[in-house]
Amino acid sequence: MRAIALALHRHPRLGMAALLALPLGWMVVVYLGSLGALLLQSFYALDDYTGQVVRTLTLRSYAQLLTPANLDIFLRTGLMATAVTVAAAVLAFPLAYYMSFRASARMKTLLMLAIALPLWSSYLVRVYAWRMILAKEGILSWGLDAVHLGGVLDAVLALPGIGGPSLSLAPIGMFLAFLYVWLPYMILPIQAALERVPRNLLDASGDLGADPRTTFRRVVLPLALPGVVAGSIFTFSLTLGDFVIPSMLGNSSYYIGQAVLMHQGTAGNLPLAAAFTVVPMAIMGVYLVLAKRLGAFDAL
Amino acid sequence: MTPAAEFRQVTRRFGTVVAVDNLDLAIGDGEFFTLLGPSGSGKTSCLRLLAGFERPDAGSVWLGGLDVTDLPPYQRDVNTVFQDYALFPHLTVAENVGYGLMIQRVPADERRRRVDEALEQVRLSGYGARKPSQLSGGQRQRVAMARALVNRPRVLLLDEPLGALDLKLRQELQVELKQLQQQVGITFVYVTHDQEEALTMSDRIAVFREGRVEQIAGPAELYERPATEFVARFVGTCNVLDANASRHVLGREGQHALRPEKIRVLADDAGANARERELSGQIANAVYLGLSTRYQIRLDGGIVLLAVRQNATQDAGDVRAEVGRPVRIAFDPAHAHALAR
Repeated sequence: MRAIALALHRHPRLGMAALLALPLGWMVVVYLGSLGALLLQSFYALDDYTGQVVRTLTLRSYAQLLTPANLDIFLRTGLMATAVTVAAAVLAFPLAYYMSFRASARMKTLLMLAIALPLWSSYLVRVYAWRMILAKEGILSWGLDAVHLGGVLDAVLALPGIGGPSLSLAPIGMFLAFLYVWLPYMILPIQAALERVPRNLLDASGDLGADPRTTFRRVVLPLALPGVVAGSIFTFSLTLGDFVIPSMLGNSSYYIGQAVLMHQGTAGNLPLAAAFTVVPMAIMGVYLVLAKRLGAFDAL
Repeated sequence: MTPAAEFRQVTRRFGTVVAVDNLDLAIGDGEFFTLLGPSGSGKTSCLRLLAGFERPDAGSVWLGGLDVTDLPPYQRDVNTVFQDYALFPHLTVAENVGYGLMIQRVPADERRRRVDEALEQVRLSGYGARKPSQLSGGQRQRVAMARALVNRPRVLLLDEPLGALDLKLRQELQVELKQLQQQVGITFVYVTHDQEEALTMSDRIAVFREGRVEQIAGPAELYERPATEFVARFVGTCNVLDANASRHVLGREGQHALRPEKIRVLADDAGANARERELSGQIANAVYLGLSTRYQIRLDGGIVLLAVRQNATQDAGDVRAEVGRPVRIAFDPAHAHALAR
């Protein structure tokens, strides 16, 4: 034991290597390895006659992505992910702000618990629960009828594009479910970012003549921005890739996750499924570069 | 003349603790005024009351003859240099300095000119494009100064602005700060717990204790004629002679302060001069401090006095060897100052 400790002390790199071997091995082999396999797969294509994957590099799978039906899927999924992300940020920010600047320690713990609590139960169960809530004779429509707001619901459902026969069968219902399941992933990073804002910066801003609104805009918001971006990475990418909510709620229109599932499972077209998966990754990459350009990480 | 800043019967409580206790204080225009005291004495609360971060529970706060008690910080003509500088990490040095001017909607070209000027004033020209994280502690301190001064406030509030720096740099900046204040002619209200810093820079000093002011005086007055035992002990080191010791050492009634450097440790062949009292005792302890040697002398009556001898002429030698040696001391009783209880 003592000899090992001594050897590690003499060769600090050895200790570091031992410490990192397992996580690094996991990252490189399992994580990056499978990602590489996925990327490689997307450059193969399916032979139309035999239904076998042909292992020669080609862009045919990517070409297939560009059919109008598939472009529709990307547009639809992208819009949904954007809407969910924006709504989540709008809902999360005030709560995160309250938690880190106003709430007592006790209140903060309670809220933290309330935010994390849904994550303890199965995701599937929660989505099923939303199906009940949003169904035609479900809790929400029943509750709205009880307070004579059934007309509002009908008006929303009559809207083209986001409406439908009932909330559970309309894109707006999907949107609500998405917003619910991903909201914690937006609140927590923003809260963490706000928590790190030194309180005397607010004093300093006020001292230099800024009213609270200006202080918020010039100091609090820029410093919280990395948190918002971190949160939006979660909500955006989770929405882009999800297939459970689109298959249990909403109308028959396809989303990326479902398309991947169908091509890989039902159709056995692994290369096309892989190409589908590369798209959200590319979108996220572009988003991060843009965010950096716009200075979202300057405060880090 | 209207005071630059004034407290009128101000009280501020935090729960059961009275941080500022019925304080009356007027700070003159153009003064370098220091609030000196141990931590928890209420000096920082006073500064925050002036800045507007705190509101008094009773009394009123005045700036330039205007009652600002109910005004928020952003409507007060004061600026603060914070203890840990509170620079905005997402802004450059120039943006930090120009923050107040931007809020006041000063036109961009004038803003740039004044920011450059302020950076030059604190000897940081050319640092405008950097981020605060790329600066050293002393440089950050200067940016904080420039950020406050560029707005030309009526009063500049400084909350232990040198507290986080090491001694050498602190001493340099003390001199710089004082020069800067004389140059810009703005009233400085300076909070510190460091009595030496206070003596070095201030025109006047208010010594705080438990939310009250013990004494307000210039540096020399404060040091030579401390009003109370607390001031005598807090500002510099001091022999505080209680009634009994005063009778024995001075032949006077009451409590007295006698600074150690006023007591001469006599060489064997020397004697006291006409005005001086001479006493004999024994060296109980001796500490070599470089510039001086500090003695603890136990007088024949058992009373212990501190005495300091400048190591000006004699080679101090091994001062530890002097411990236990009989010794005579002399001092001018006029230097013993009567304290109020």
